[in-house]
Parts: sequence; C-alpha cells; structure tokens
Amino acid sequence: MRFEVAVATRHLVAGKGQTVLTVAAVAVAVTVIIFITSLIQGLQTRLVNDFIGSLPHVTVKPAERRPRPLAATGARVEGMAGTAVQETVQRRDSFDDVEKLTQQLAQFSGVTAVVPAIRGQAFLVHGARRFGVSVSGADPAKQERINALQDDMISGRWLSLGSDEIVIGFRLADEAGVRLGDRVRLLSSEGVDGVFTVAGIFDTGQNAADLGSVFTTLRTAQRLFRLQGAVSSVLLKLDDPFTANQVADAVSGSLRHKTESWMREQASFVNGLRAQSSSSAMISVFALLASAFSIAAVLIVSVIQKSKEIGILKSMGARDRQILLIFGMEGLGIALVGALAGCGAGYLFLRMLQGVRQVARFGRTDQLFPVSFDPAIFLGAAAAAVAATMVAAVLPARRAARMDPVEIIHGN
Amino acid sequence: MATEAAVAVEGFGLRKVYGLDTSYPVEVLQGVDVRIRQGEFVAIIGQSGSGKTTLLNLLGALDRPTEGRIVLSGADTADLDDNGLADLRNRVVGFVFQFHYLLPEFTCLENALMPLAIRHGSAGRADTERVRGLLDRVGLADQMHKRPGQMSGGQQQRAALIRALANSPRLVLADEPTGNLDARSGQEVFDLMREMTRETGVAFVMVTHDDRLAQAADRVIHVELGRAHEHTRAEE
Repeated sequence: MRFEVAVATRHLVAGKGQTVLTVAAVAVAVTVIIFITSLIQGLQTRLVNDFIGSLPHVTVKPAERRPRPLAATGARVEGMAGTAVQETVQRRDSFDDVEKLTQQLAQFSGVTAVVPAIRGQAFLVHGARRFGVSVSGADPAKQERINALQDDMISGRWLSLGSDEIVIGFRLADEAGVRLGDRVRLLSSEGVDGVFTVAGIFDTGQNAADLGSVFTTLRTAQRLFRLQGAVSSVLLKLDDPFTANQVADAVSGSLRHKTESWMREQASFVNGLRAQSSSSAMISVFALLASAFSIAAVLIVSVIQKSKEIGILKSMGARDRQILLIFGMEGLGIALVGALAGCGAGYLFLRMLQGVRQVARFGRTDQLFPVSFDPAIFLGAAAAAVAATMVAAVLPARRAARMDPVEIIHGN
Repeated sequence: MATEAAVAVEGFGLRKVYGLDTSYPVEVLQGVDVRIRQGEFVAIIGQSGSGKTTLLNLLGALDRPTEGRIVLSGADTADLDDNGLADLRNRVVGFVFQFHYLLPEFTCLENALMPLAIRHGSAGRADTERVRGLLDRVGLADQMHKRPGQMSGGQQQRAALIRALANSPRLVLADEPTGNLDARSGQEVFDLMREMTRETGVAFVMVTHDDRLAQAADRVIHVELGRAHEHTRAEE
C-alpha cells in the first residue's frame, strides 16, 4: 500500500496545475451544494416559521352531524315519495368535555401543544364604523404555543390579558382609528354584545391577520359565542409540522372528530416548498455531474500521459490491482482535499451571507438570508462529492490497470 | 568450457503470432529454442521486425508465447496467471529499455528502489544500502537525490540499469539499452552492464543493432525471419 500511496501522492504533487484544477472542481461542487442547500433550507425554515408559525398544525373540530333521512331510519310514512337532505345552517357544534379531549389528544405522537380554543366571527364597532373580524379565544399562555403572538406585539401586553380585554392587529387599529387603551364594542355572530379594552396591538407581518384578527381569552370568547364551558375547536402544534397530515388522519381515525391539517389547507404553499427542495436537489446533482465529468476527463488524460510509466511499473512486476489502486487513490486524494476545501469555502460563503442584513419592520433588523448551518449538509455534500469523484476515477483507473505493458513500451 | 552454470531462462519451440483475431495474422517467431545460463552475457541481433524484441518479451514473462514453453528461473510461465507472471518478473527479471522510463516524480535513488517498493511497499534499510552501493558503483553517488529531469541521458540509463538490478534478479533483459545514447555514453553503459554481469552473476540478454557491441558478448543469437541461430565466440 505504501508504494501505491507514494506513487499517487507524487503524481498529484507533480501534477500541480492539473491537480489544482480537479481539486477546484470538487471544491466548487461541494461549495455549491452546501450553499444552495443551506440557503434553501434556511429560507424554508423561515418561511415555514413565518407562515405556519401563526397557524395551528392540526385543528380538531366536532364532526358535523349529518341529518339522517327519515327513510333511512326505517320508519314508515304514508305518501313519502322521495328524500331531500338539507344540511343545517349556522349550527355551532362544540366539544363539551374539554378536559378529557385535551388529554386524549396529548397522547398522539408528535403533539407538542394542545390548545382548546374558540373561533368565531364578530363585528368590531368603533364609533359609527364596523369591521368584520375573526375572534380567537384561548388561554393566552396556551395560545402563545400556537402562534407566539408575544414576539409580534408592538405595544401593550398579551400574556396577562384580562377578561374584558382584547388584542388587535396594527392594520385594524389604523383602519378603525383605535389606540392602545381605547374601548371598543364587539358584536358576535351569536348576537352577544360587549365592550372591551384594547390591551395590545400586534404586527404578524401578514395582512389578513393584522387587519382581521382579534385575540381574547377563552372565557371571553365563550361568553361572546354562547359556549359556556365548551370550545369550538382544539388546536394542535406538532414537533414536525410536516407530519400534520398523518396526525390529522390518526386523530380523525381514532376519535371520529373532524380534523384540518395545515398542509391540506395550504396545499399550494406546501407544493411551493416541495418545488424549491427539488430544484435545490437538481442544482446539487448537476454540480456533482459537472465536477465528476471534469475529473474523469482530467484523470483519463493523466492516465494517457503516464502510460509509459504504467508500462514500466508493470514490467517491474506491479500487479493490475496496484495500478488500479494508484489511480483510485489519486481520485480519492482529489476528492478528499476538494471536499474539505469545498466545506471551508461553503462555510465562509454562508458566514458572509449571514452578515447581510435587511431592515425589517419597526426598526428591527433581520438577516436577509436566513442561513442554516447544518453539519449534515456539510457531511452530505462532502460524501456525495467523494462518491461522485470515485465513480469518475474508476474508468481511468481501470483503463490504466488493463494496459498491456508490451504494447505501451514498444508501441508508438 | 567451464562447468555448466544453472539455467536462468529457457524457451522451447517458441511461436508468437500477432493479430490472430484478424484476417492478416503475422507470425513473428516460428519456433525458437533458446537457453540462457547464469552469468552469461548474450546479444540478440537481427533486422528490424525480425522478432528480437518479441523474443525478449517472452523470455522476460512480459508476454506469453502462442505456442511453446518458457521456463523462467525454474517456473513454467504457462502455469502462472497474470499476477503470478507479475510476481515472477518482480523477483527474477530486470528490464532496461531504449528509453530509461524513470518515473519523473521520483529521485534517482527512489527510482532504483522501485522494484523493491512494488514488492514490499517500501525498500528496507539493507536493500537501500545495497542499491546506494550499486549507484555509487556506476558513478551516480552525487545524483541519488536528483530527479531524472536533472540528469544526463547516460546517467538516466545507468540509473535504469541499477533499477533492473535492484531486486537481485537472475535475468536482466535489455532492449537496445544504448540505442538512445551517444557513442561515448553508450560504450560506458555497455561496459557497466558487462561488469555488473560479471560481478553479480546475473544472466544478461541484450537486443542490439550495434554489431560492435554484439561482438563483445559471450554469445550472439541471430534472429532472422522468426528463427534463431546461435553462435558462441568460441565458434568464431
């Protein structure tokens, strides 16, 4: 082995420009893969956090009670000719045994938060103007685990919300001319009316929420929507948002409740993420292919250049396997140094990118590119490049091993 | 004649046909018998294309005959696979070619030690000292750590000669070893080969076009139209 290592090392060192070129090809591929994958992963993490951070991953609702046609009950009715089924309108179903349901839902694997909540429609009335709003009622500390509203508060308070207090979005506050501490009236779809103090104003960065959402306590919402002691839905947060469909199906399968998964509700967003991931994978594959082809080309030229040496080594008794090892190890050397250099360059690029900041809302600055430093990406890119380089090195190495010393030495 | 020395290599009824799978096969050797003894210095002469080099390659187990047998250092090459032939070459044969074919990335000493490195991974201390001594013997003491590119043609060929002797082979095969050198360097290298043969007891077979050098050999094998005619100096 020492002989093969010595010859391979000398070849690489003596090959100066050629070696640098091939090492650079591997390094560039590794850098591109690390760069693209880390960037896309970082962007996706941010997008997912920003976008579904404010959403429950799974919403559990009572199953709709479907009216049963009289004919299906087996009752005999004189003169019955046909059946028309009309769904009930404006029926508010609710869960009454919140305690038990909460416990049941917490048992499902991957569930990190179970938040009993009420969602309902209401008008926010200020002066002569009315604004249609969606009211979410839940214990603020629990609600916080769903959408981390505290981070979005730009004034006032949220976690210590009292029973006649609400928090609203800054766009709604602007539109309605409401300021912190003002009192506004809410008129619910159940016809319940109440006056509330605006205790906080938030900015989630999403227009729809900032213009049309009102958050309050569970007790307040129960009063507004006539649901004493009950809730209209239970919100779940999962450790992996992308298991939402499986968890939703498991819940509806075993508890017979209706479930909504964010992935189904936001299918186009999920498809967008998938497309992004596939394009980053494709860029990685093409980078690897380009580097593998250039390495194969350089190594083939190198084998042809060194054919006389190969012939003389064989005449001196070098076995085919030894020749194969020499050129295989040249490939491995190129791959390892290139992968290492690529990891270093990738790291530096990401650090540079991390330093680029953008001005976010309300004077806060933010990273323009949310980069994720995942050791798995570095290792994966390096391993892929080493594998691709070795595949590229096999052809020239085999060609070298198979050379006939008689033909090489005496051929022209 | 002195007591017969051991046989280094022997060929029986050697035939070699090239292009057997084409419509124009060429029969280069048409049944050659040859025996080379330890300590002999044999010259092979003949016109270009007569089959000299082919015979040399067969004797050195670098190639296999189409027909006939080669017994090299007691081993019938027909019994060996390619790896077996490679190992046999490594242990008992040294080659010197018209061009030195030293590896340009290695020093003169490292090149000379190459057959040992192929066999053992790297050369041991005793072997290294022995090869240093040989290099010294052929006047390369101050060239040992130079790369081939920094040496003259004569020096390169002398280093190639020591490389052929590094494994203490029983047989050295040289294919026009002086063909690429000027007259003076050629004569120097030839004289060294002659001396090393005497000193080491190796069998030395040299293909040459130079009649003057051939006449200085113990024995001359004349290859003509694929057949060999031998004559010793005593016969002349």
